[in-house]
Amino acid sequence: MTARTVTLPAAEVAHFAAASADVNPLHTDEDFARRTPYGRPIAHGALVVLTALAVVPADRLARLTVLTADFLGPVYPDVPYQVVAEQGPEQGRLRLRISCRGETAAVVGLTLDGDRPLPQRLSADSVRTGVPEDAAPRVWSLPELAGADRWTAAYHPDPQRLRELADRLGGQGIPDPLLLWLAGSSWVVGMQAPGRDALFAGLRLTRQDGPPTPDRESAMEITRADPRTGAVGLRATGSGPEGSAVLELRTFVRLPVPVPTRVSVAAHLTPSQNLADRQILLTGGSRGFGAALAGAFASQGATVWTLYARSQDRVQALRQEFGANRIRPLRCDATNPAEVARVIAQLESNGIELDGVAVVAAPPLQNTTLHPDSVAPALEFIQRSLGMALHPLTAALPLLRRDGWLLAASSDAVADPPDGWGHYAAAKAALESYAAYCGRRHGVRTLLLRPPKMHTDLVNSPTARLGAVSVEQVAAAALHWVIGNAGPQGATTVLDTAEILRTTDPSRGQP
Amino acid sequence: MTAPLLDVVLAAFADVMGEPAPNGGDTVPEDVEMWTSLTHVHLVYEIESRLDIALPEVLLVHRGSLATVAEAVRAAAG
Repeated sequence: MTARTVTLPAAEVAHFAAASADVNPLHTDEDFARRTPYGRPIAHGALVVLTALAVVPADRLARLTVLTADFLGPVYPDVPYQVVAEQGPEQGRLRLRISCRGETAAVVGLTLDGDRPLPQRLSADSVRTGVPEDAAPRVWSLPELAGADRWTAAYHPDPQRLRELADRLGGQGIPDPLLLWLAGSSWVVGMQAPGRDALFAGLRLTRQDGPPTPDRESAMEITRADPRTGAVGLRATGSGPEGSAVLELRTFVRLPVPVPTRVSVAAHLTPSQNLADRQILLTGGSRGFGAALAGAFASQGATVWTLYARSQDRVQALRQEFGANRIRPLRCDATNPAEVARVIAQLESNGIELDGVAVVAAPPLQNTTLHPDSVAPALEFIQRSLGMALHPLTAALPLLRRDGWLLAASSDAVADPPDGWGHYAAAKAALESYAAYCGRRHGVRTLLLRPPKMHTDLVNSPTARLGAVSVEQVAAAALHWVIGNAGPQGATTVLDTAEILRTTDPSRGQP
Repeated sequence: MTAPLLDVVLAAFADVMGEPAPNGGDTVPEDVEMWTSLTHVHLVYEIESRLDIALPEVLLVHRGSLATVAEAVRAAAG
């Protein structure tokens, strides 16, 4: 067994993006990646494989006939990972496991029994190079993918740039053809299909017999496009100076999360003026459940002072949909007390008295494990998560009317945390305690909302979407509580999944 | 049940996960690191392909033991 610790610097992810021409924004764009379940850019799966291959001696890699890879979790730049190589059950088989903090991120299987060794280096004059460096990834809908005909595309990455990258990562022994095939698999998934919204789940690379050809040809076809999960299968065949290979690629396409609209909110909550002239402060109102809550309040005639950090485009769209006089944006970083104080002072100077404060904002959720090395990132998450809620909550209390209310968006994960969500549940449990305390001390009604899994960007993974409830439905449950004015001042109410589903039962009618 | 169906599930499992189920029909996701929510989707696809049937959506997210998967497949297949 061979083991080594590797760290993929962010700069090398950028180099791989340039050398492979896979400039998919999941790997290169902070803002784009923040809106995915990963929260920040992740390394290309093919680059992870390339890095792991550095533990395999060159003479063995040259005999490669089949390479499989399963990508089980994200690999983040600048984080140390362990690569462990184990002999497979059969002669000529090798298994590489890439893990971090006790969690396996990828498994690579190698069959190294070829009679004809791969060429270690391709001569410069045998390889035509030139990749479209500024090309944008393709964007497909699932029906478009399902109906796509077989297509071909020109792809000529520069093996020299890939080789230099591999050398820096310790992979001096990786043959050029393998570098090109791995880069090609990344480019197909990230740029061709599914393209921009792809998640790379795994690949099987089978080396083909036959002589090298002077010109490279790449042909691709969709073998699966399943609307239930967004799973997309591809088969790519490539031939060129490096020889021939077949790539069977398992991917998912992240289907778009619906944005709340007047119509989607009204489906759960009849528009009214029940909250006319009410002033509400809402954190995290630009996206997901926060946007649905903002829309629901607006649909009842309230003015929603919406704190947001970055998603200006989303806030503008929300204003356009629900009314610029109803959605009033306040840009600030909720984790920064000075910024929060500035916007609260702005409200105060305008003589605003708040009828309610709703804290919804939460940082991107990245799974953590029960491992000593996971404690620091878990604590960081908890601190950031609480900071986003508690700074606005405490700063806004002096503006909150005595007959007002607090709403804290928690989660049913508090009672039963899913795997990897321990830190998330801990942050929500702490928020619940603090919000209830604030309510009692200030003498206002407090709602702790514990919704089930909702369909948001936070959980927009292939299977998490299945069985998730809509954000509008949960927002309607919260509005029933606000409008119903239930409970005495200073009391805390918990709305759990069963209660949310009961109060939004269409047969029950509107408040 | 269903022994033949369980055999199909076990064979599909070995193919997708790259290793046989360590505890046969009693194997649960906690036993196999490769058995994640994503590889489970491909397990369901492999079973669908081998039996030429379409399985209900709930089976794509519910990950019990392989015996319960086989039972759900039997129920879906009628």
